[in-house]
Amino acid sequence: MTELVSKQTVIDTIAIIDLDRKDLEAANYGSQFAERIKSEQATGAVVNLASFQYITSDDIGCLHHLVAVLEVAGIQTCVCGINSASAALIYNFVDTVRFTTALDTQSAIDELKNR
Amino acid sequence: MASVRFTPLYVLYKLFSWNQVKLKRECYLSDEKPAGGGKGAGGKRSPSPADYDAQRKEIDGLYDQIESSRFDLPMLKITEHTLMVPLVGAVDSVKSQKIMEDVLDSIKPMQLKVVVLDVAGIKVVDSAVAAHLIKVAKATRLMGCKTIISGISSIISQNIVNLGVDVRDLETTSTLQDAINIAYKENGLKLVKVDD
Repeated sequence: MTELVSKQTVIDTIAIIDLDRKDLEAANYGSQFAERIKSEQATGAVVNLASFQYITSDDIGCLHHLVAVLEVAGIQTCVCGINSASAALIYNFVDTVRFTTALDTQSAIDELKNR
Repeated sequence: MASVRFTPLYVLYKLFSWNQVKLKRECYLSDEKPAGGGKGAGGKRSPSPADYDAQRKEIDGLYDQIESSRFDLPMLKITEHTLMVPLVGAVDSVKSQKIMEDVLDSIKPMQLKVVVLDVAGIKVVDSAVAAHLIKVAKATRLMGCKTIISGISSIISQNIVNLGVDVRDLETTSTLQDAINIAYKENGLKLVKVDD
């Protein structure tokens, strides 16, 4: 099992994950993230994509998988930090995006708290 | 006053120089490059094909600048987190791309939560325009911002339905007032009538 390199901090039972693309290449990244979040007693997760200069359709597929695993594990999830260039292009390659999104981490935390 | 003597030699010289000018003009208009690039008569260096290419690129660049500046979008910030973009005239692929770029680029610096696209001034809403508006709405949602499309007339709504465009992801209103009311609600604001 490879170690996750994404940085994780917990604020008010919400885990903020600064996602690193390398982690999406691991075989069982979904369960690893779920275990790590649960070990910190967090009930929600914010996946921050601020370090992604571009987002590919493969990345969107991986994010669908990650969010689905976390939601099944009982962790409410919100994705944030998508830049304008990626947002403008992504719908040329992907039809639908099946996760909740927010502008930045603060908005994502507010979104999770208001659910 | 100096008089000009129209000798046969002078007339021939004039005809020759006029033909040269005409030839160069036609060459430029027909996108044809002059052969060679060496030195012409008198020791002056005549323009090479590379020079023509550079000039053409420069002209094309200037045309692009003119075209892009022609589509300056009015971006009206009506509340702290709400932007209103009135669209006027015909919307083609260049303009729709600019709408997308300008709206998305302004979300982060303005901390926008709602964008109102007012299409009351658009002459024709065909399937391409409708598809692009949906794309803008989806892209803004990725950045945590909601898009409302206002000013949809009965004819436009009939056209969109007849074209089979999926508008489930779109929030639409018939008037700008309705859209602004929704935007206010999203921001936790309320329009209140003040008694005189």
